[in-house]
Amino acid sequence: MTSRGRVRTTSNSLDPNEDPVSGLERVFSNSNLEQIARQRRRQEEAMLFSRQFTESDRTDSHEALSARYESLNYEVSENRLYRDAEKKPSHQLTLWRISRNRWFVCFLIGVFTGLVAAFIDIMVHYSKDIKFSWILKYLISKCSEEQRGTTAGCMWTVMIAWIGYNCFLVTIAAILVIYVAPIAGGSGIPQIKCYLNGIAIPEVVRLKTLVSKAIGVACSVGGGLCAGKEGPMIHSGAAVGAGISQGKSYSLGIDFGLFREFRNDRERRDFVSAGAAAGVAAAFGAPIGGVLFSLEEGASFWNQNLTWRMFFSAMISSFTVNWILSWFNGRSGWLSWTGLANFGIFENKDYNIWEIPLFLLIGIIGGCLGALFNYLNTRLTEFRKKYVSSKFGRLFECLLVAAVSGFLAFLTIFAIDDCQPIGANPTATSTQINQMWCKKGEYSAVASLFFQNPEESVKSLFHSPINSFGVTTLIIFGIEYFLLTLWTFGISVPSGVFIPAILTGAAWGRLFGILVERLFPSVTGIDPGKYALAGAAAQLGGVVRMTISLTAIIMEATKDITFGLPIMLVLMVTKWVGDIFNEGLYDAHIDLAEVPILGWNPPKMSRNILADRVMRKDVVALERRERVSRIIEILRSTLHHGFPVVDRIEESPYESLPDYGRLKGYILRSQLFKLLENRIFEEEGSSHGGLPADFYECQDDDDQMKSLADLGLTPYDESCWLDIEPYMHPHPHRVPINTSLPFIFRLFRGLGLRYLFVVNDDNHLRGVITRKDVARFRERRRNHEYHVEELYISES
Amino acid sequence: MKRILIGSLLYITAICLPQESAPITDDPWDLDGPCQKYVEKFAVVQSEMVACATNWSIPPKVCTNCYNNYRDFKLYEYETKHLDTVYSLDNRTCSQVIYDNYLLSYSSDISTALTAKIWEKSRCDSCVTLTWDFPHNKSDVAFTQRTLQFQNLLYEWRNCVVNYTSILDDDVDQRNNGSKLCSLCKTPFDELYAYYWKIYTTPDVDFCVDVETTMNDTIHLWDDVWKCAEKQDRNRDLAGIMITFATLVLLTALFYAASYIQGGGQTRNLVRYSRLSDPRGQRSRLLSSGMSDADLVHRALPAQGPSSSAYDVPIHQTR
Repeated sequence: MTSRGRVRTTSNSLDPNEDPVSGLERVFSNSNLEQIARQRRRQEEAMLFSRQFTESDRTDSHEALSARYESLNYEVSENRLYRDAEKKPSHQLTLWRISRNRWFVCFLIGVFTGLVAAFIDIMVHYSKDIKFSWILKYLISKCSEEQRGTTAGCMWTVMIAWIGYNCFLVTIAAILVIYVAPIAGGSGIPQIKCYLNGIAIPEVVRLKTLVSKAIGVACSVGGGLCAGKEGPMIHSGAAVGAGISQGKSYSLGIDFGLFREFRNDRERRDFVSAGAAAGVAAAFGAPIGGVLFSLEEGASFWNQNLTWRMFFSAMISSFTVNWILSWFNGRSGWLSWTGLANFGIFENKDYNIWEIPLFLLIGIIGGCLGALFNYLNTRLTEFRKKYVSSKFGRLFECLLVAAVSGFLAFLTIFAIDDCQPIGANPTATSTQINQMWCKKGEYSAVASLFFQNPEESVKSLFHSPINSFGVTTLIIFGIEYFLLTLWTFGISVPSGVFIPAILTGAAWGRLFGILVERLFPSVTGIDPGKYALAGAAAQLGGVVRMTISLTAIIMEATKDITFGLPIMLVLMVTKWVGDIFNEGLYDAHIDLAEVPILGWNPPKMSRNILADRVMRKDVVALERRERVSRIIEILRSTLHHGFPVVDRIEESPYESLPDYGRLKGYILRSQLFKLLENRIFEEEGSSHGGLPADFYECQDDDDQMKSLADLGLTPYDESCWLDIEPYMHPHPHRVPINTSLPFIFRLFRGLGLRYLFVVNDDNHLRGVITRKDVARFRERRRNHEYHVEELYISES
Repeated sequence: MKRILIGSLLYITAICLPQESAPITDDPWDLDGPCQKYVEKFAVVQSEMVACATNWSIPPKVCTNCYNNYRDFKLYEYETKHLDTVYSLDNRTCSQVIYDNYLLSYSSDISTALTAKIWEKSRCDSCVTLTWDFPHNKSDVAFTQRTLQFQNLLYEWRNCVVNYTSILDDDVDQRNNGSKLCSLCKTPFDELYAYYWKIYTTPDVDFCVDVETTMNDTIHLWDDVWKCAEKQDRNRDLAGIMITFATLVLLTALFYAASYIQGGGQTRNLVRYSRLSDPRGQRSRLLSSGMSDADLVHRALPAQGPSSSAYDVPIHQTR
């Protein structure tokens, strides 16, 4: 005892005024604590650098998650006010009104999505009119007059005019995307998928995004890019869904005061799903395909009631499109108009059992080509992300793609002498441009493929007589379209990949059909059209890796269930083959965008990763009564969307992090704002100010946030207290510190959580887990073994 | 026995002597006897139309050649559909008997085929305008203006060909080669073609199949048989296309090369959460509970000064 005392005394850590015995005990226990703490830290470090992470240093720098994406807030903050609302006599009426309004909103979503689709289609129609009837007709007739005398070429000027017009339209699209709404670029399906997974992608469903997307896609399709309007239609539908259900517009700054009860992420998610379904339904005239698409590719959260409402939206939207387009085409009331993409009706529907292996072969080819497409496009997108990042650079790239797409068409027609007498193929529309360098009375089969609307080209590949396209034509067209689509997908214009992939697939599928016909000449009745259909399905399936919804969409777009079996076979095989190589295009783009998406299953080999390692320990917590000035400082210097409330926060004796007390609840940033805004303060014990009526619907809406300066808080206000307890969510989700990662993952995925608190055995707060903490653990497969890697978080 | 004999005899006659028209009899068992003559007349007009269509099937030229047959057929079809005053023995009108009474109505099927599969599929309305006056069993036939115009131009070209072939008739080689003919009749052909092409490429304005096939055959004859076609000379445009090609390739290469050289310099702040060190500075202050009671009293004083300085109050004061 004495020797120990002496040692400690020499270390001079004893207060001379302190009672030596108790002092010594304190020092002793302190050193003990420190020792334990050191030990714990060592263990932690050992765990961090454990075997599973030795390989993770090899992670490429692009494999990161961006810190700028936050989760959506699907949880109801069940504070006292929320509970009290149920006791009000008017609550029964509110419930009834909510369920009525849900259906009403779904109806409106269908109508407006249909309107957007019809608008896009009509814009594309007029653009085509201008291009063909005014510019080209004039130039070509001028050319044929001039050429009688002169020797100088004249088609060259037609080409320049064509390229110029395309570039003009594409510039509009690119400017809208680059300067107005960057999120409107591309197909939009990855973004919607992320949104429905529970990630707040900034501005993804705003009105300005919708406008940019709708006008932009009309311009990029009208501008002759290898782009489809179907993917953007899905995004537009989702934006319509989100917009209408909120009854207000941030972009315009208008609040109609409608549908206040839907102003939270949970309700909005459902309407976005319905909007996406309505978008597909409008794009393909496929209501069932739309619902299945939302199920297979979009929604991460699903319930039966939602299915019914989605189906309702999809039905209304395809009805609206039919109605408007039939009116536009002068046959008002004729409702059998079929969406924006319509693949025509097959007349020869026979297929035999001996053709099944051929379809399977098509599936294999489709899987390989799709995987190749995804691989190359991913590499290209990485390159773009890294090197083509300036606004001017992106705009210039769009122009370049537009010019090359237009030029390549002319070059192909120039190079391939595939002139067919007019009348050989009645489905090729008779436009002047198709004549080009052919003799009088002939048209260029390649030109008809390049210069038509892509949908028309698909139709002519599906339904033309067997001899209307030569083998060379199909090979060259297929390769060129494949490459152009590859190059186009990912530039800063709204563009989908559905129709280009279908067109590419139809080209090689038809080629396949012609080869089959040559191999088995004795078997009559081979229609290359059905192989073109199978090829189209295979190529599209290989790129996007969908099965059920694509089957439904293609069957609905061809209005025929006879080819159901071959299409299903092809799509299944395609998916299996494609998944050997890589993931679908949309998933690849989500990874490239560094979005912390949570897949359907937790990463394998992660059972031994516990909450202790997943969580973050530096939690900004509040006590139940807080000084306003501290709240303001927290709000000002952090971006967290909510804060745990604990009974006390104490300095930890052995760690730099504080020692949090028991977890009592959870309060959202927006709720704190609302409280500050309404000055619900207590000064010296007395509280004043009533609660705002819409407090409990103020869940988490980042857009609603005003800046702190707008609140105009005085120093006096800041000295007040804020009693958080009545407003906090009293029972937030929490897990013990030894919970495994798969368990946490399933909680997050299943409940759509935004945060999860980690507590110790005494309910003391130990850390917080957010989406990024879970999503940063990814499974990788190397050398036939699964590993878990930890991704970087990029805080730029 | 006798009855059987007679019966089988009748049966044999029926088999051995197939008749073109079912016999018109006034037998009491002939239920539809009164309607038979209408059907027979209908058969005549239908068969005339069929014969005409088949005669003019290579190339298909029904519209301009069979419009009279078609008119007759349509008029009589109208009549058969309005036989409301003639009755069969069971008091049905003959229209009902012909169209609705039996499982099959050959005459109706044939009428449909003639109308839909032949007349309408040939888009005859684009060339021949038939104005109907069914009740008076009359109709007017008129060719559309563009068909007449086309015909004039076609005849002009044919005249030219006829004139010159008679001159060139003695020289067989030259006629097959046709280069002389080509240069001589080039103008009428160009005019014909220009007119046709104008209509063909105008949306919503059509020629009927007759005109289209006539023209296709004419072009085929002119281009491939007589080899009069002027090759559109691609080489004329070669220079322009090569220049554009070079420009675009150069631009693309330069653009990506320049982007590659210039770009990629953005540094990103990559963090690995599992290796985060403990927070320092501002964040560390935020973590701990801010307000000790002593500090509160201090802060509550209104004379504390501007609010901005208030945030600098140290808040590590708990315990």
